[in-house]
Amino acid sequence: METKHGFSKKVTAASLLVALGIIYGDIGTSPLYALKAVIGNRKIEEILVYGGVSAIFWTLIIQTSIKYIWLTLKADNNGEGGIFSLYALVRRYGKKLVIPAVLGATTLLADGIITPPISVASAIEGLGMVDGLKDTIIAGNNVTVGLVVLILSILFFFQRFGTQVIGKFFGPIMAIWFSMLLLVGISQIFLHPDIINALNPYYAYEMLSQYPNGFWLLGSVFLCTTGAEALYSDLGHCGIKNIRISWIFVKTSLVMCYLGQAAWLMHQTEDFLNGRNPFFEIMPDWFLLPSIIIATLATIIASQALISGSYTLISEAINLNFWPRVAVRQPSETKGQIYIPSVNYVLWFGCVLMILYFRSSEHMEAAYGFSITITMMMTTLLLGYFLRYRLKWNKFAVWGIVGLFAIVESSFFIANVAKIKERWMFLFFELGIFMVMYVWYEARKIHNRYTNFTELGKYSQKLAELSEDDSIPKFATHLIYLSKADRRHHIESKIIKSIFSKKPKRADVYWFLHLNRTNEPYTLSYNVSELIDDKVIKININVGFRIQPKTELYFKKIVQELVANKELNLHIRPDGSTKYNNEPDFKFVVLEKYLSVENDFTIKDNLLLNGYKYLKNMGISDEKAFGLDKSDVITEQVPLIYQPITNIELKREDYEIANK
Amino acid sequence: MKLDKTKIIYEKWEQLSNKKVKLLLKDGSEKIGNIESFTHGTNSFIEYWILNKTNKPFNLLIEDGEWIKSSDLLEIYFYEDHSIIIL
Repeated sequence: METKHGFSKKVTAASLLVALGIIYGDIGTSPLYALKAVIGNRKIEEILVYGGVSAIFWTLIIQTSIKYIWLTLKADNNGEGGIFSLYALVRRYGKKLVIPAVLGATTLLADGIITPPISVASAIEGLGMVDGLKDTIIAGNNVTVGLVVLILSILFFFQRFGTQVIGKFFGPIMAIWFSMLLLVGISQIFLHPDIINALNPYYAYEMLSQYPNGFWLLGSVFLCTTGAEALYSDLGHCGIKNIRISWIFVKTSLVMCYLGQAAWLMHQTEDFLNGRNPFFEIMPDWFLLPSIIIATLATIIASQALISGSYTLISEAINLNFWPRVAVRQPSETKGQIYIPSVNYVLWFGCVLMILYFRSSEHMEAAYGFSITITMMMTTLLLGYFLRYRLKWNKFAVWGIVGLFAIVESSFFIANVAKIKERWMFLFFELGIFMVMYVWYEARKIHNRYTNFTELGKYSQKLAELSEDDSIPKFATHLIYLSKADRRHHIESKIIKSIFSKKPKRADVYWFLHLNRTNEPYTLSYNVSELIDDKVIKININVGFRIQPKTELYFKKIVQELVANKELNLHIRPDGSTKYNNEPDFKFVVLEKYLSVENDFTIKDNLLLNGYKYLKNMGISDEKAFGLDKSDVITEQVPLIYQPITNIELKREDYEIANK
Repeated sequence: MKLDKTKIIYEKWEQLSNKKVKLLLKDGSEKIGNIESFTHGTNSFIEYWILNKTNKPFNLLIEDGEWIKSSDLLEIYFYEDHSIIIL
């Protein structure tokens, strides 16, 4: 059995390797900077080292193993994960759940622009330890920053070609990476075996409660689990079993590496780190350069996972009506792989800006993690609904679980608040993403609130008469309208107007096509209702929220099936050209709404609708968004009237009196 | 889950051939006419009912009707079967 992305869901050596390459890039590269951030410029002493590694170990247990690997992976939406998939599972249980979903997605995207630069910078800075490069590679100097910018730029440039070829190497490289963490970590533990005692949670408690300002160290401890949310987002690529089994190896490697770094800290002789990175310090001298190369490759893979995750998130946001429609491309034959040029440019620009502003991984550590705590809290909230309403867990158990994670994550959040002063510029970025989602979602709600539906049945006889009225020139053989009406008998009043008003559009067959975005990710099915045989046909196509709609393709396939089943007669072309081309003539009509002056709405609605209009103009056209760009499409401008002005008292004056 | 009475009205209205209704609004006023169309809402299944004073068999000026918010309704009387739904 395969996932929708074409990978195996069965547990095999190959599938576990794929999981290593896709799922664990982010969390797997945290050892490059997490413990280093805990120690910082503080004096190296037992309470800090043992406490730091103990807190990291228990964070991995509680936050990653229990919350994500055990609990959150249960929230599998037909094999897919991520905050929007979770939202799609629970949205029927609370209208306000849209807020945590949007907030969680916003913050996930926002912290996403710091993950690639911090990971790549941490790896590249390691080159400074290589003999001959000590004076060239110094954290924060122009050469180091330039190298990071170059690597990131190449990475973003190659996104348009997909990862079909290089993706095959991700699993083996990450297997080498985790094996390296494991072996190097163990080799250091042998030098200071007492470090194993740090797994006792008392050390974490001692550091948080007794070390001066110990609580605030949680901000650095949290860096070890920032990739946990990404792990859930990538669920669809590998399947639960592969993730859970490979996590045993990954976690063992991570813990050994952190313990190894802590062991080194305890047996080295200096009082302060003085710019040294424990991660590279534990490498044997002869292995330093290979380890930096492997680390750089691992951070590139981690960045790739994050970039692909951002495309998926935006693509889901588009399909769930949280984001304006933008061009989404399929860069390779790999199933489910997408590339969104606009997101690529924004991410590239954001990442380059980050490295130019912060210049070194140390400065980025001080800013990283705040947003992810918000994402995690939002996931906890949605997860609570999932456990209670979908899995029907006992409400006290759910309250207990949500309460526990609320305490843990609020603590991380508070500890991370201190980072705001280092990351104030992120607030603009976050606010920008949030406002786009908010304006788009709310404005669409207003649009829907004023989209007027009427009964199609009332007009179907008139449609049949029009179709057979030879006095009116034929407009098309098959006339297809895209409709928002999900019920069989309904249609937008605007469509009726479009057909009958001005010059009536005579056609042999009138089709009304409704695309229904489902809560399941990969649904693709349809049903047909013929209101008048071969004349008025309504089609409802159910399309999952992870699928890019290809309306024309679906429609033609449906027509083929109807003809093959002898349910439909294909009519001749209006201009008699059938003898030259026997393909039927299909004409799509897309109604594009514009705000009429006949409106009277509140300031808030006015701002939302104008913002929506502005965002819409930045996105792609409706026909492209619906996959109709190769078809015969007519776009009609129709006024959208909100809150129509009523009770107009228009008095007729007597002509003679008016001219006196 | 809270009962959405606008959906009950809608399902009733959909089955009727005579769409003539009498609406009693919260401000005490009464409206008589034919519900010809509606809009969906987010807080309730139907946000607005569009009431036309006369029953036009073929109406292209659909917005011309009076837009009545579901939340302003107190009760609705259906002429076809003389039934009443109280909100």
